[in-house]
Amino acid sequence: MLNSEIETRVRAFIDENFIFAEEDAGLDGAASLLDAGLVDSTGILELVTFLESDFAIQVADADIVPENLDTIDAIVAYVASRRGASASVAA
Amino acid sequence: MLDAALAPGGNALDAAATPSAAGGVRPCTIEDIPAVARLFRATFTDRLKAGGRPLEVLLRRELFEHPWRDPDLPSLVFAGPDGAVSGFIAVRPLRLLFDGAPVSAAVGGTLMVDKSIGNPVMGARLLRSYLNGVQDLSLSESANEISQVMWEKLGGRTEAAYSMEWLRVIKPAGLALASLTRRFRMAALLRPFAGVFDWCAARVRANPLRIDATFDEGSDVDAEDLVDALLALSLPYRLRPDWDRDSLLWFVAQASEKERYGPLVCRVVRDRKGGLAGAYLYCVRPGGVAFVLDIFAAPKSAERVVDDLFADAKRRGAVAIRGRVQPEFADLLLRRRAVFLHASSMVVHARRGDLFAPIHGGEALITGLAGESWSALIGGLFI
Repeated sequence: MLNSEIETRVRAFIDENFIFAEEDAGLDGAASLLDAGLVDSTGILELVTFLESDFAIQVADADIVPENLDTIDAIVAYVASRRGASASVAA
Repeated sequence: MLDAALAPGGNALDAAATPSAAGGVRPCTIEDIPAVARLFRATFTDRLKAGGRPLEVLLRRELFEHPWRDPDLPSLVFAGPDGAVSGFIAVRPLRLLFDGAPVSAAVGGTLMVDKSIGNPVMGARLLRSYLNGVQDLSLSESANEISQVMWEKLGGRTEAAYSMEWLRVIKPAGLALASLTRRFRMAALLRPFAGVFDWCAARVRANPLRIDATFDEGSDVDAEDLVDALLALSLPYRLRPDWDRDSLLWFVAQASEKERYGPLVCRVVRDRKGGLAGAYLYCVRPGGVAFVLDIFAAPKSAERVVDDLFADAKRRGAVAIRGRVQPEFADLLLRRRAVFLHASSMVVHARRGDLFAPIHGGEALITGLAGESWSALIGGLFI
């Protein structure tokens, strides 16, 4: 799966679940979801559940850190790395 | 490391517990108690009072001297990169029997994080780590709205029937005054007027809230006698704690330290032939709202037990009685003019689907002494 495809799906999820104002749509990929108050502790769990189900990856608790989940860019990179890891294991 | 080994059903606690560079979840050790106490004091300021008991002593007892303490079911802390504790969830092991077979369960509560750090992943990770523990059934009867949603995101369910509190007014003016006095101490000056109103109201035959205080089918008992009764009365529940005398005595002892609610009263109710009809325990003080921990009744004896409770509370001067709804008593309490209010939510997360059946069917004993209401952290006062 291409990173652009991951990003499209992640953006769609964030737009649908965390963005309530029209002007917040089209979020910068490097913008902090936590600092913007878009994602709280409940939202983190929602996001993790989405990543696990939509991308068929296992998110370890140790991976639930802002470095992996705070921006769209970080999420995309994390999903890509996890999918890559899964593919390596499968191969 | 703890966080890395949390596939559902896996034993996360077999792993080493070194926090990552970003911080992480690890089992709470006895050395963490001062830090956990500091966090508690900053989070639950309303439970602090000069003259209260040292919180550290209580935490040590509840977390490390629990009769069912299990190294595989530890309370958890979130420690930052520097090792400083910035989050906590209390995990209390609960040994249950389901149709006689043992079930591993754990009650999670007192979830708190250091808000000044502004890291929303801490609470999420603590709760996720707890729910991914070795237990088959996880539950909490004190989930606030945020916790409830977090549980649901992680596959938990809110059990509405156990998430309500009942309130039975005994003295309407006294109750209004008690509520007012909590905010404005000067309101206590109105006590004589409230007393006169309630005295008059109690003599109006048509008063639907009238309670016959002469109804007295029970007797005060000590903890030992209460435990004997509870061990017998808990047997019919399909899902119930695997209490023995020692463990149940310990839970009752913890429940006796709820200074905010008043001294603990234990009563056993007898039927006309002297047989065991039921038992209950509650905290009550004159002018206050009594807090019921548990009501137990033998088949066809619920009315006798509840009527004894109401009469006893009235004799002791309570202005109202409240408690968590136990489904098996809900209909009777409604008929006895209790009102139901939403309380903190009962949330349940089960690995085994069959465990939901007794809960939905009202055949589970999972609140009060069986849940977490026994804890002195609820209703106690600390320094």
